[in-house]
Amino acid sequence: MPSDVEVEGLTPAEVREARRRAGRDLTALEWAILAVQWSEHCAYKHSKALLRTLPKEGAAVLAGPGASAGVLDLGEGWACAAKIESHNHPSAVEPLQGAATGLGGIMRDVLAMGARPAAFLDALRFGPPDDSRSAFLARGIVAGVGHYGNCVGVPTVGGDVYYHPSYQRNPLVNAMCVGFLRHGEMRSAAASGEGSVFLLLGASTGRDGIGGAAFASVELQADAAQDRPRVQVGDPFFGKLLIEATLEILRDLDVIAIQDLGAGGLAGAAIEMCAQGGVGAEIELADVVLRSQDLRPHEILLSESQERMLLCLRPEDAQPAREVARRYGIEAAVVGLITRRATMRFLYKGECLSELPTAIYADAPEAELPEGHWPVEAAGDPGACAVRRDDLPALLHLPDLCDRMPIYATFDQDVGLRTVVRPGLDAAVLRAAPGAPGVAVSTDQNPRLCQISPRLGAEHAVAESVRNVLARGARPIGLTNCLNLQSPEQPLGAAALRAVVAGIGHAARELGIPVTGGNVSLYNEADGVAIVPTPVIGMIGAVPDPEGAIGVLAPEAGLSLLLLGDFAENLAGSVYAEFKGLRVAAPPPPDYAGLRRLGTFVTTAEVVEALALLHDVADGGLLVALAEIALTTGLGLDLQLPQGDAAALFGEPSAQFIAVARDADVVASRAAALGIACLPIGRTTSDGQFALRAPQGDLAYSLGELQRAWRREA
Amino acid sequence: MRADILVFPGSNCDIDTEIALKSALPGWRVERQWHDGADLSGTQFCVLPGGFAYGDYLRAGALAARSPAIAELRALIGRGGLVLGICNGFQVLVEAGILPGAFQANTVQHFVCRDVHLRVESRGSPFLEAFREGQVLRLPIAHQEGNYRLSEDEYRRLRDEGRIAFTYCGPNGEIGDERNPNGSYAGVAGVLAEGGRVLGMMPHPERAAWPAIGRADGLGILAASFGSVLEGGKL
Repeated sequence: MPSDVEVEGLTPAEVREARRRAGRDLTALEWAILAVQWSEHCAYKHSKALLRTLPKEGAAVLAGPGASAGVLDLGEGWACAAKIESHNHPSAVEPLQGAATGLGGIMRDVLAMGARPAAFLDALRFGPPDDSRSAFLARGIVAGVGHYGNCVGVPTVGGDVYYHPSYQRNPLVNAMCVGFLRHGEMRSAAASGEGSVFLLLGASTGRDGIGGAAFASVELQADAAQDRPRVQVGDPFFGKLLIEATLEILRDLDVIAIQDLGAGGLAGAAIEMCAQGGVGAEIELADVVLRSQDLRPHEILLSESQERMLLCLRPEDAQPAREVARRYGIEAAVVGLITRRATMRFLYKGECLSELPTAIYADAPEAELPEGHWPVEAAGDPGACAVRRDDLPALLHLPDLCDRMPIYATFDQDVGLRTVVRPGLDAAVLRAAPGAPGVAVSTDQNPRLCQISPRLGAEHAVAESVRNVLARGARPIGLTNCLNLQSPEQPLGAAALRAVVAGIGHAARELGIPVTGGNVSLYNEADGVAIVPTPVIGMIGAVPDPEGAIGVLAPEAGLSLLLLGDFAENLAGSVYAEFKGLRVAAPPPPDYAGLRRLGTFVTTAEVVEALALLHDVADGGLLVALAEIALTTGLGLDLQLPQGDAAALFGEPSAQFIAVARDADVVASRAAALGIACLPIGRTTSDGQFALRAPQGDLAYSLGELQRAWRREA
Repeated sequence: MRADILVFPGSNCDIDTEIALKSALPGWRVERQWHDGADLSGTQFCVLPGGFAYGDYLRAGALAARSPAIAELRALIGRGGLVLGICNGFQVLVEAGILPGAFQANTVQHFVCRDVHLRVESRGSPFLEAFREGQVLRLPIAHQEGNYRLSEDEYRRLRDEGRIAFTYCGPNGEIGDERNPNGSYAGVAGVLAEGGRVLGMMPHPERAAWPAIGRADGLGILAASFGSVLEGGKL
């Protein structure tokens, strides 16, 4: 017995701990399973203690962290399941399949809750668009999103894109899936019932993606292309069949538990389901349907072949389930038996390859985070400069602010009939079904702010996602988060991890929004370059009447424009400050009191009715937000502002909205009653002009000129 | 009265079409039928829905066009039943030879999802009786291989027989290359079989059957004018 085996992904201390728990040395197969189960990707060993500090209680929460996806109550018996997850390293190596399987993986998490997957949102982070490697990765990733989502029949309704040099070799693909279910349809992953069986449903098992979780838990190497065999390959056509077969089995049979096969393949799913149920299992690997017959037992156990689910059923339900699978032309095989003794036994043709207590695999030891400090720029004022006429078109032309329609247009945004507000401004709105309640959904994070301060950046990511759902008249009821960071084993990475969790927790508490789960992706470093801390927030807002939500019907000319909330005090943290090369300065934390007031305001029924459109002021500031209204509606704007300095026009306040009102009086009186500043600033027009009068000088553009800049045609 | 939706492996607009038909055709029995073993003998109206039948591997619609259900479909057409192929369903009808032409990838070489305008070019079909000739509709498209190819002769013949159902156009009915989202020959977005009872179209009427959210132009197509077709319920 070797005394100091080296196991990929495990520290010497973890190797010792595993031996201590087992009371013996582990076999090669057991080390392989353990390396996956104890990887950062599966075990969250560096982040678990911090994540426990996040608020998870909320009136709407039906399932929170620990479930395959969070589930939130929408009323009228409807609920929504949602989760966000990263697929960064695979996308850096093989962008199309990396992104595609990212969507597939998160979709099956939502399916595992008993929900019908209803929408994707994708937070994408790329290197500079003029860099050829970044452009190649961006093209592949966008194509992968379309390839999977369009074919599997789940629309892509939102997301966000940012470009930053730190993502050049390590792009980020964070896929969020939203699904709908009726209350009684919710499922868990907790296996139970001695003699119940494990049914493996979906694609056959091949040699793809072996070691994927361990791959996700180290920095990308310069020769990352060699890791291509660790990237799984998705088949959206098969994924579609899997959705339909799974939902039919869930509907017609009494499924005890269900989980998708992701990291760690069959071993991972079986161990997690048994651990949740406090039971054990005997898995016969020879019963797994294989794509190639020469797979060895450890490959069968750890294969990360896509489009597979593991179901725990009463034995008499196995045959009817197999019948459903047969009709859809997908595989279904009984591969194991639940045992009361909480022991995982893996067999091959009857021979026991391994027998260890479930808990050894499931409860990974937590890792210590080193001390560390993120250097923070002092909050302050970067100074000002005179506004020039060219500023607005120049900002609209920036990669971070330009039109996203060329990307969205390559995605099916409508399939499922649930999309009542398509992607574009702020949040998309989905209905669970025609006439049913629904949600407004958005993903957000701003690399510029996170680089200045990960803590503030995380707070502002929550604030921005809240503003986006408020813009549809939705009430934020839960968030899912994806923390993309560098190695936590280094002081800076540890500091960033602490800071973003603290920031999300603080913002979530201030705004009363529970965190329903998410994903942590560490080790986002390539060639010695770490990414900017990237805590992506996926926000769910409840919309009782989505068909009557703000922004469903296009606004027309002749409506009033009102400015809600206070102007920015300065240019701190703004795109404009960076664009003008001003001094970097941290912005103040979000105006939580202001956001709470605006939240009360926009969820008032009479306000929703009075508003044709609502848009928050965010990246680029007020003038960019106004231009975005004009550019997405095709309406001209005739504006007058009491302040026309750079801070007012391009500063980025955290609680300011532009309202396009059908009934300005109702909006003004409700705002006044809540103590929200409300200023009439003009009207929508049909003359194709974007005209602003302000004390510091007037600005006027044709929509065509702004459009050319925004679409990067000029 | 019964409307059936043929479901192939990979169809993904079948449930949408079912929901839309149920709302457009009150009183009808609307069902989805799995292609393998489908029985259309009691059906008056069959829809081939959008999606990616068989993953669109090989060519869009090519494998589904070889399904045994296509024989059922031909029998329904022979009895004078109505058939609507939407998007992938249109591709299946073309691959099965029920409608003329062929499909290629969009000229932009990628998937395109957005609203387009359509000009109604004919009234020679129960699907089009709700409209005026020249009327402009707004419907969404969502496809990768929507570039509909016809020879010039075929196009002329279809046009002369009133079998061009829709042409892509601008908001005021203007025709031109810049209004053509996928490169289809002469901007053709939908065609009719002889007799007008089979319609294939790339845009999705089921996604525009919802007046409550301002998307209603597809309703008239789904609620085809069955009165004249099904007189006496003979079908």
